[in-house]
Amino acid sequence: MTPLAKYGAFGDEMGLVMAFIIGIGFGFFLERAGFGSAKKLVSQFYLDDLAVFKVMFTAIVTAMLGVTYLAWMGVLDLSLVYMTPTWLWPQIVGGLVLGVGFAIGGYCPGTSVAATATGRIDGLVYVLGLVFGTVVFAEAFPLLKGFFYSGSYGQQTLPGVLGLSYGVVVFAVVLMAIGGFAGAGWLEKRFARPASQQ
Amino acid sequence: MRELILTRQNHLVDPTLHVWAWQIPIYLFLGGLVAGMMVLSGLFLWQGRHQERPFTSSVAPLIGLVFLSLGMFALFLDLEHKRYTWRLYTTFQPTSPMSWGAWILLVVYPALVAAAFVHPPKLLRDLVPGVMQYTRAIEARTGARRMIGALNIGLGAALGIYTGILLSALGARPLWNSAILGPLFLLSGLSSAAAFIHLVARHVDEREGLARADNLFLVLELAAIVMFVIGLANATEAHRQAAALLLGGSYTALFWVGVVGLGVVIPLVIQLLAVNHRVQHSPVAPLMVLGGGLVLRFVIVSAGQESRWAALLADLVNALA
Repeated sequence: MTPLAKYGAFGDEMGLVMAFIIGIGFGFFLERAGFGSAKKLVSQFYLDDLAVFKVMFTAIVTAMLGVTYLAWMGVLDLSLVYMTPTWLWPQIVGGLVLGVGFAIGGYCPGTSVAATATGRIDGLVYVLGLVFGTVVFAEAFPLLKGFFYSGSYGQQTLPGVLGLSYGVVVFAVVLMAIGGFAGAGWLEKRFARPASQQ
Repeated sequence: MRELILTRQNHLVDPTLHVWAWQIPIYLFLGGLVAGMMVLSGLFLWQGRHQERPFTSSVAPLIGLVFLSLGMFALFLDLEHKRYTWRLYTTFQPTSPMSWGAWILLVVYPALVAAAFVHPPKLLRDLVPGVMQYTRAIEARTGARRMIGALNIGLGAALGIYTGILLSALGARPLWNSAILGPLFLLSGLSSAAAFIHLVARHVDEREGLARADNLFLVLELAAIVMFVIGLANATEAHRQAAALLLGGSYTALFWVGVVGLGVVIPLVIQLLAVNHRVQHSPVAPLMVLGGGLVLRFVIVSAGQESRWAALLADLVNALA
């Protein structure tokens, strides 16, 4: 049965080793997909190359379907899968800060590490900024604590909020992905830059 | 045996046996780094390639003097009776790794100075104008240069291995009680030295060459790490318990992620891609190798002090009771 860690297949220390191996795999495929380049990543904000959107949405749908099928087959106990509780306001602000940082710096945390591994100096600067920001946040946490824990709604899921069954939501997300991919293709054609500007 | 257990597990003894703090790993790391630089510079001096590899042959020995002094200062800070350090040099005990180490550290200094004199960098020529007369004297005798090269290779290897032997000779700590520890520390020192030169050398050829050498050292270091862990895991129960510290115990993540993953495997992959011109050279891989070498010493020193025979004896007494 899975999750393996919850069923005692390995302890916390080995869990960190597993996380490292999975993280390296994630970074490798990010880099191979071209996401170690800030130019490629910020193209999604200009709507002329939505590869990031397509890859990430594909990953979400693949993971969602995998989890769904494994749970139906009785291999995965969904109740033991960790879900981050909802703290509405700090998560909205955190999402905005991440988005602004992504648009300005050209990377998200994961892609900045992938870029650094391939020797990109802008990626390295981004990672140093990330570490600096983390330290500042940790040091300022006593001041931010009240806001950090505001808007608590506990663990929320789409089926729970929408009052729909799990399968219906999964099907809707898959339809949304297909629609999203079609829409992304249309936008890429609409906002395609002339060859001379590429 | 009960008395032995009670004595050994006295709370004033065992919990305070974690007596080596940051000073020892720092010293072991800097000592290993200097050892690696000596072997590399000695090799180029022996081969007569010192002008192709100017940083390794000329500048590295001078940096080695600084690093070794910093390492020895860290070692000095650890000493309980600092005023009696000189007594180490009133005797030579052939069966004591500590005595060997004390004397090796002493003779390493003139060997590094001699290496720097073969092809002195501009800074040394400006600071010590008289150095050129020694350089000319060495240039006049090919044998002298080769002897200085051989001396640096030999003393560098001795310095690198001794740091591991110093720990492995202490049978009371099962994790250290492995014959692989000496070669492992030497290989880690070589890879750290190659990474350091790759990081700071100016000449592209030299950096490229040292990156290739570093890849070889990293592969050998990885093999030594695997043998070290397998050796412990297949020895006595106390050694198996020591290995468990790295195989699911409290040092697992730091060892496999910090040392093996980020310190050996990932920089090896990056540097293999870099030397094959698939990605550009950057400071990332050599910095990871240096960080891995440092973390290796911290993990081995710290986990080693946590490993003990006493726990095994306690199990035995409980089983007999």
